[in-house]
Amino acid sequence: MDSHTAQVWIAALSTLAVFSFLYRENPVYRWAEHTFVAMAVAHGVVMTWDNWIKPTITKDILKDGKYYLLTAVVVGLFFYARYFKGGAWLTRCAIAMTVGYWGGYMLGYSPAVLVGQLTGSFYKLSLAPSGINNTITFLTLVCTLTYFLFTIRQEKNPVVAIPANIGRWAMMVAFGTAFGNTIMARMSLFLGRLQFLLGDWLHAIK
Amino acid sequence: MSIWRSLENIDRRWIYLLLAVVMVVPLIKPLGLPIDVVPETRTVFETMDRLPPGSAVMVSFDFDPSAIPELLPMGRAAIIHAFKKNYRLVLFGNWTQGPMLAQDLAEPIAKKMGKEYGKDWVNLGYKPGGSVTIRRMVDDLWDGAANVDIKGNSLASLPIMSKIRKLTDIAVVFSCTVGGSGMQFWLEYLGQPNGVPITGGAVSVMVPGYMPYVNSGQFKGILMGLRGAAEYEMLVGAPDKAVAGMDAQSASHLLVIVLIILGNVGYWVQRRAKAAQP
Repeated sequence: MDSHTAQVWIAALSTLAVFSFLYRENPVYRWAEHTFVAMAVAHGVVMTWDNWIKPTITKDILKDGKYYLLTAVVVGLFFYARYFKGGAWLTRCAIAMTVGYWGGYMLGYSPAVLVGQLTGSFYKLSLAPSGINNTITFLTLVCTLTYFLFTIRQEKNPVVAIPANIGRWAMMVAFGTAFGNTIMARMSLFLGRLQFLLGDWLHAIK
Repeated sequence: MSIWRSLENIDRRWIYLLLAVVMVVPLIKPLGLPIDVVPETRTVFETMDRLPPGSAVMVSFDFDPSAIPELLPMGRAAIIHAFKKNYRLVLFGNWTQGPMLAQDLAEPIAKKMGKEYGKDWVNLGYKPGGSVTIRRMVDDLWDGAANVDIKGNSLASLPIMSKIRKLTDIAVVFSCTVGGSGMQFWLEYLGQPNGVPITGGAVSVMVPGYMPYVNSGQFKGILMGLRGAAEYEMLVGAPDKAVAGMDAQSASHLLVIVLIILGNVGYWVQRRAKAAQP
């Protein structure tokens, strides 16, 4: 048995081990699940070390002398200070820095995308065939937003109630679409495994 | 006991078995159902196709093995498309296992199409940090990539990288996306602020959430799950597993639709029967 064949057999048996859960919970499934989690974590650690940490240490810090990068290491180590008595405040400092950084970072970049969404909501509105979809999208947006207008009692105001009701139906359609796509995704995953089992493993299909 | 009551109490494992049979049969004996190309897929194809030869294209494998059935065929078609058009191909990944999958995929394709590693294509590998790394690579791609490719080669030693110093040197980013750190990140930190077109595909479950970005033109089209992958394979002229799986996919959908209708009819009949009881 060459290495490729061995790999295929291991993958096929692992797949069957996971599928055994469909019958009932069992030790074989548990073994496959725990093994996968362990391997995924180990792989992530190795990849991060090889592709990032190691070259940064060897080139940037040791070769190019960018010693200021070590300050990031120190701040990173603060996260572990909570395991030592009286060290929790250092962890809070590190968390505060992270929150502050991400807050600023997100505010710096996210609004531009939202503005694009906003302008996209008013894009080429018309009743002509080329723009009718945009018009429907716009009206649906307004109706759906109206549904969340809680400051006006909807049942007493038809100006709000009718579009809010349309918005409710629009959301139902959207949830149905999301559910349909979820089904499609799950079937695709199962299909991929079937193609592997029937093709690469059993050679029943090309 | 009525037939509806029997169906209500059916063991779910029979449904699993039925689903497996319904999907296995078309795989062994394909039905040859037609595959239409939707405008969103055509936009992806045209975005990738209209670049001048020699353009640098990035295909980002932003997924792990759990999304292989839907996203790997997209990545494969994008790699073939880039090689066919003689683009300089840069592979990357915001997920740890994505670039490894890309490497396994690209090596035989490159060999078959006569493309040389380091000259015609490169794999930067996985770089942690997500959006922060993308942001760094916008200013200095080499530094953002820690100056090494997936094999540990210095980027300075790879001829393809001599004219790719920043992410803005990339003409198009094609992301195969599952989860947050894919097309959304590329749009927020590269596409929107720098005008680099962002295209690609996502797992079906994410597509409804991404459609507003497609409609607004922020994403240049989108490949919608396995179906999108099959359509793109057809357009690129390299049909493979996605196309082969569409019959089984359609059969499974048909079964699910029938089961949903049966379930609702059963519920309605049972409710009427209960209401009729004195």
